Amino acid sequence: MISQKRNRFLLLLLLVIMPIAFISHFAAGEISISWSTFGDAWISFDSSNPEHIIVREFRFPRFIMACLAGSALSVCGLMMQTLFNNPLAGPYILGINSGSSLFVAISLMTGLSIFQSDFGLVSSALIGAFIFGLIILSISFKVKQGVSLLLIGLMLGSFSSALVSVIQYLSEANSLKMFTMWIMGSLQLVESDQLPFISVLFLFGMLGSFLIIKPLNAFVLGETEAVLLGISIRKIRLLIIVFTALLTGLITAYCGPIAFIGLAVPNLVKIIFKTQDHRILLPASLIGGAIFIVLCDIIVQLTAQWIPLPINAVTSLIGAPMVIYFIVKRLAQ
Amino acid sequence: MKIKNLYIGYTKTLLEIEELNLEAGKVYALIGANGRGKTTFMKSLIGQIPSLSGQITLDGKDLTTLLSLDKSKLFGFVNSRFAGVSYMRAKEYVALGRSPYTKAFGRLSAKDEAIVDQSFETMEIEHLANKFTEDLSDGERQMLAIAKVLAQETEYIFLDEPTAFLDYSNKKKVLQMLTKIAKDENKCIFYSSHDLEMALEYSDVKVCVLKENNQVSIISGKLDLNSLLNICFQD
Amino acid sequence: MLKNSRTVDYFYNMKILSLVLILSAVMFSCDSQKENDNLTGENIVRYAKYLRIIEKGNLTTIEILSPETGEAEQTLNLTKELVKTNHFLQVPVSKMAVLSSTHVGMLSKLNEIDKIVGITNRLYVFNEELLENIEKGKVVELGEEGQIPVESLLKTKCKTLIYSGFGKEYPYQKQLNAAMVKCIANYDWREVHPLGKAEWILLFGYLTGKEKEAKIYFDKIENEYLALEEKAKKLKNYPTVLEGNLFGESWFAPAGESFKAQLLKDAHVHYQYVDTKGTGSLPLTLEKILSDNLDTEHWINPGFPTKEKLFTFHPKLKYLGPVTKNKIYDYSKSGNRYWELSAIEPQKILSDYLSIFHPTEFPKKNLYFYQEVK
Repeated sequence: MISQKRNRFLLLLLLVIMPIAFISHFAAGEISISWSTFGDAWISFDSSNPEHIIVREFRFPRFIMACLAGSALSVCGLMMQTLFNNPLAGPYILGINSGSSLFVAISLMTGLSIFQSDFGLVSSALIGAFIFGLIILSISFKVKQGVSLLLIGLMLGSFSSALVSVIQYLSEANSLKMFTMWIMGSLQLVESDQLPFISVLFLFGMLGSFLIIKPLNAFVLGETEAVLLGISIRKIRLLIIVFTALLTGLITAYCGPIAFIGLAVPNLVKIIFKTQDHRILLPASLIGGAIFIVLCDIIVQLTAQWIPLPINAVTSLIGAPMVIYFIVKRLAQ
Repeated sequence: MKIKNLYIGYTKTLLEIEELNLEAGKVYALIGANGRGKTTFMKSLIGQIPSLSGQITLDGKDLTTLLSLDKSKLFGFVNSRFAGVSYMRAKEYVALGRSPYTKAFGRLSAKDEAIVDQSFETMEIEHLANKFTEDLSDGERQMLAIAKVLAQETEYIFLDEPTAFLDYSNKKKVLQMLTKIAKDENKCIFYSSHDLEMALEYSDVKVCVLKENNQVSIISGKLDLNSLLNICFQD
Repeated sequence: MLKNSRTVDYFYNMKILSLVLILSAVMFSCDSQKENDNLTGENIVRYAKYLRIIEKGNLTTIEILSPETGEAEQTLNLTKELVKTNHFLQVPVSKMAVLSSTHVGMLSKLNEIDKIVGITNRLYVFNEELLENIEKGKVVELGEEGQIPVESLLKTKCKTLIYSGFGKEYPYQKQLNAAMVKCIANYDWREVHPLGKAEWILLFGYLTGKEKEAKIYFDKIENEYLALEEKAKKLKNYPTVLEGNLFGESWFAPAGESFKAQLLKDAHVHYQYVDTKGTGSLPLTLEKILSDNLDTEHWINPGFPTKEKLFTFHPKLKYLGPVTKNKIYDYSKSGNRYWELSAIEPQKILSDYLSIFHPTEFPKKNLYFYQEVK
């Protein structure tokens, strides 16, 4: 079929764009660093050379984190949209991300001793995601319809947001500043020695998502139809929630919440690839998500000298018009 | 399929049937007034809704012992309306009918592909294969839904008011197809309808929901429109 | 002849009306005369750009100038006599609400803390007497500057409300004026020169009737500041200093014409961005800060009291030059104290800076505001 050939070609195209994105991203930094310096920084690292430090501790972790975040959030967004049969769903819809925010808020802004010094921001966020993930999981066993789970997730999210607001109101200036910065989201916080750990968890979550491609395809037709095709709803729901909690919890812990990508990229991918087959959608979201966020980060870097824009602002500013454009184009056909 | 002393419902009994045997090659029409529980009845027969009491066996095996996957290879179910799925082409949709048989990632083998193509041929809708489901008419989509169930290669095909949203010529077309499939492929077709004329003409066995109580039974003998009306519907 | 009673009324009313009109005209011309007289008086403010104080006998006129236009945004006519209209403000003011920490600091130097009946939030208060008064219930917490509960304010029966000016009328100003509460904009925060900022104590001096004490205090700190500045001019070396921190994706460093940059200039140091324009902050990338400041020796005002908190905030900060050289200083260990007193004790900031940056010439005794970030 022509459409299959076309989709394969598009996927290949996305793969080709990745290295271009990397080059552009590296070049967009404010300090111009030559490619030979880039090579030297890896082969013969000199810790007193600031350019080497910038390459290894600033540019490289930022790029990798961008790719991991973009991929993870897009794939999770895709799974949420399929699970709930709703194109407006995103990776944060189960409220797991709010768990991370809540625990980070507690650890930064309250004086609660359990959360001091031994627990960094990352651990707090991971614990928060884990606990909320468990709550949602146990609820998912009890509800029959997916819609109920969706509503509960939304309520959980609202509830913890309200708690966070109260904590913010009662906190002192310095901690408030730290929390505000965390919640704006940033790709620059991650350090190079944290990357192996993040990558391992990322791979685990991604592989898991790929393994359930077939049931995901059945879910597209709705839960009742999926059952008729022999899919075990409870089991697949459980797996989707586990992988989503893992991936979004991971990204939120190291970057803070990053908006819009998980919602926009899967929709864009469906519009462009014109299919519901997750064998195409999943890899397309993976690569497409990475490219999208790298593009946004390039813009953040290029504008940093004049207007400091948080990554969250750019993802929405760029993303929303893109989605509108594609929808309008499709409606016109 | 052998059904004995079946009581179906959620908490209270909606319908009961003493005995019913479903055989391959025959077309069964379930006739009854709206809201009596026809859909619940069919879903209970395929094990989607647990029945209150009674026995349903297939080749001697009890229905409740079957796994979800086994059931998906035995029973196909078509709803009264398929609204289409965005960004999904007809061929992709019908191919999902092969899910119980495909291996990793849902990849279709050559045999799977052949069966899908055959389903399109049988329903005479090959020309729709590359179109998006959203771009089709209701009638075309209904044919597509049946094609998907055909691709599922099930012995039994259940259809819930399959012609409810179709115009007259499409109604005839669908029912004629179903009759042909029952004969040519030796399948058991079981559908519910409140279109009495069509049900009369296009079925081998009439299964009626009696108007005066919760009973469901086979009505045999010479039937016409009036007698059916009397049996199943209030005055 | 017998006059018609109606006609009598008419003439009588006309007489009253004309009398009133004449009196008003006289009063009006008297006022404008007074104003004209005042505007030709001398402004006693020397450093503050947005404050003008003109004394004329029993009447003092204070003008608050808008930093945007340079025109008088507000004019206050202070008098010691009893007033019935809003045109004048009677001093000394017995009760006032102040919405910024700097205002509290200035009042504390005049020993007028007991005049404060309203503040924004007790979390930001350093002054002990004020904290006690808050405990005793004598001071009301009004919340965020722009959104105070008007009724709570009126309950305090304060006569004036002093807020940080922002070019527009204070929200609720009309209602407050009707209740005889004068809203006064304070632009100390826009002053760029350290002494210009401190000179706003004169405003509080006049409001509380302690203008003499305010002048004495200001003269004293002015002398101290200028003396330090003179000494600094004679220094030989220019140590390099970095100031500011990340907020979001950018580092905000004081621009060349800002208050903070002025202090650094007076402390005889080399500040990387001293030649830039603007009185606020410059947004810069962390990469640029890193490469510009490889050899920078000192880092001042990162906003955190300990290195642990600093690196939790952003782990990449550990690559900055001054971090490896171990010379970081900040005031946040006692942030409230700094925010209250820094405006009115600029000579102490300068003294701290000189001890930090030129330890041989200015031996480090006890630093007043600053502490090393360890």
